[in-house]
Amino acid sequence: MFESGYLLVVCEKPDAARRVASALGGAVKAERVDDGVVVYKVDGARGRYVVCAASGHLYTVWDVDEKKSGYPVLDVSWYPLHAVDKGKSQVGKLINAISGLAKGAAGFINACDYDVEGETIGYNILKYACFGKERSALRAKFSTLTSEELRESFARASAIPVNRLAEAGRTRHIVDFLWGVNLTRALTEAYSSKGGYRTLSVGRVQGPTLAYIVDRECEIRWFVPTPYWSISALLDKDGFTFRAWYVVEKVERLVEAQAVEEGCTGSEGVVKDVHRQIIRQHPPTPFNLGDLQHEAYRVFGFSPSLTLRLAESLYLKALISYPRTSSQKLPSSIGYRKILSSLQKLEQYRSDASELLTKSLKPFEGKEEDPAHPAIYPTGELPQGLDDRQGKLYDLIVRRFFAVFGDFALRERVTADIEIGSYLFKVSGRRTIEEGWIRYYRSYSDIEDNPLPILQEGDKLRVASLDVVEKFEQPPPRYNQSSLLAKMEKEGVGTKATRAEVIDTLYQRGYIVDSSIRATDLAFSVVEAMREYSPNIISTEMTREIERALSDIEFGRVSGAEVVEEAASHLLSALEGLKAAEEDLGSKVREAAKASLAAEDIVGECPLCGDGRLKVLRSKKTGKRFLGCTNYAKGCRASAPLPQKGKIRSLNRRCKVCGWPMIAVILGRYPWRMCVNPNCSTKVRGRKA
Amino acid sequence: MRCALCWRESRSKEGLCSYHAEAHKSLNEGYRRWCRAYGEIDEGRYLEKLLELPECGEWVKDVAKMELKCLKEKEENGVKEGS
Repeated sequence: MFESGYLLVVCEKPDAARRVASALGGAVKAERVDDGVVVYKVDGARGRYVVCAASGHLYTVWDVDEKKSGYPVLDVSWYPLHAVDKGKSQVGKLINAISGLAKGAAGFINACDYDVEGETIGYNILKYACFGKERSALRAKFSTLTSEELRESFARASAIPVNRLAEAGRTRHIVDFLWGVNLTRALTEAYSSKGGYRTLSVGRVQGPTLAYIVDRECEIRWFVPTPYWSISALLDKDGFTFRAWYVVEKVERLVEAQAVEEGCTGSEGVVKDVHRQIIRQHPPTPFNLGDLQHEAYRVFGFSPSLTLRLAESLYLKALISYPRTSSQKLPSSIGYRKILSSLQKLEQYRSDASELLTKSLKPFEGKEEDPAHPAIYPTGELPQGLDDRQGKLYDLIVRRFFAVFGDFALRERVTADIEIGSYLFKVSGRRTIEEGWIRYYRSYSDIEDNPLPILQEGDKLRVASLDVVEKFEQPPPRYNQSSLLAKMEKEGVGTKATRAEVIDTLYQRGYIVDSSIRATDLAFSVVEAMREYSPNIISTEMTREIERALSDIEFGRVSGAEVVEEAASHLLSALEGLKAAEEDLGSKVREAAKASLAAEDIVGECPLCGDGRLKVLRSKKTGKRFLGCTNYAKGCRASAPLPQKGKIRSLNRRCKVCGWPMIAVILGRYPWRMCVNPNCSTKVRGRKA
Repeated sequence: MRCALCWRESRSKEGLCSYHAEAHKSLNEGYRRWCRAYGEIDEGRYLEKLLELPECGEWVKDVAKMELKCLKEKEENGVKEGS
């Protein structure tokens, strides 16, 4: 054990602890204490520091009665994680080690991430593992793990006697636990009321999120495409061809489309009006977490939870600032020039960084603010050993950082009215006059030029072709992880830190499948049952109201106890509705669960009989799985072999070559897509090769 | 009673669950829009075309298949009665 009288520094993660220790002093000594837990000893400005790390949350909210079933559960308290989850024995070792160190400490510094979750982690450790030091401990607040900022934050560290951020975080955990445990038990017990068992969960944020997906799925499944006609003319001016569109974008009746076609045939185009406009296109705003998640999804196809994980890993390497931020602002205190000068050392950024350094630097900022952190920015530390995905995200963040300091881009927009016969067509073109910020963000920008020839009123144009195309209205798109995240942000459900996790949970619970998100039968039944018996559970309004109250705690407008009381009263009335309808609810959800499981085995329509469906079956003789038609009893002998490893999922589409269903085989990180037809020419070609 | 097209409880006079009943309503409304768009269109052709369209909703297709089957049965019965 160490000689007493040191300052005990509590960090959130081991990587952060290592960085904090190196920042505080020159010679860092890593030592193993009780149960092999590693801590860092270092001599710094305030004396000797011992830096220890948690591993995320070490304490959790749990039912005081420790019952495993029955509801309502309203009496809850904080417990060490290992006491309620036997798989977390390492947490017990960590807590023992920290408690041992706390006994010899002369003072405490909380150096967890500065946000609601970090504050909650640090507060609980100081309160429970360090014997009530949550009020007297100093708080080091920082947005990057660079040595300079860490040293400054430790020099400025002060005690927080009234910790509203921690109160807000602890209250959120209590409310979410109450909501989750009670609703999950209500649903699970309803399901099990007539035998059988399956855990069915609904959380406070999960409920409304699932309802958005189910509602969208209904719109798609009820959609009847309406026909319309789109009319365009391919025009030619001195060898430069371009397309103009009939002024009515969607012609609703075939006779009208035919009349336009007839009226235009044999006529030339005459330019009636030309309008030129210069547009100043502002730079993008700095990334907050949501913006980064959307952009990484658009550019790389990264899911929001993957982006968050990658961003956190870059933060822990001190390469970027704290990513769980709402801010779209970059204060000058972060040192724009210092960062650019440092990035200049890297070949790929040299030219852009050098150019920016010759200008006066003022970022184009968005409206969103965050009291704890600025927007996400590169620290200027030079990256080493990044994997492919970390490297991509880092580059995106750096180039976005450059772009926000760029000049406005100047673009010319030309629109022209063109008469063909007596019908009016319109054409529009855009071209970039001055690139401005686009030059720094070119690899990721989706801005494209579609220039037109120089057009003047009275110009005559040859009609190379007139095209009348029958089209159909499209259903609304399915949500993907990025658009669902955007919907949650817009509706104000969840927080920046938890939304991606909620989406992951919906996948894990079997409520949603596929990257273009589809609701399962189980999701339909759960949402339907909630709407019928307890609509508040999936109401956006109530979730938003609780969210607002939780946020009010941070500003001291309301106490945590008041928020818990209000949330519990909403919850109790919801549970009453569920209890009263337990039997009916149970049978509905049970049937849906069965149908959902059965649907997972169906990969698509049978291409031979057209009436049956191809289903995953197992051979009684060999136990191997294969596909067979559900119309086997009626004589259909369609069958196909299947890979014996991995999870099989229907892709809900047919092979373009042979028309048999396509499946995804999920084995390892990346799914493998294939046509199920063993004789499909794509496979025959593959075999020959 | 079960829905004629899925495992859910039937809630409409056509013997359909609430989801398929709503799809049936959409199908009928869609037919009116198609008649307006094309001038006129045979009901059987409308249903066949919908079944080919990837944009058409899954539940609408379930109902369209059922309606098409009924239509064909009616036609066959009509032919038999006629002969």
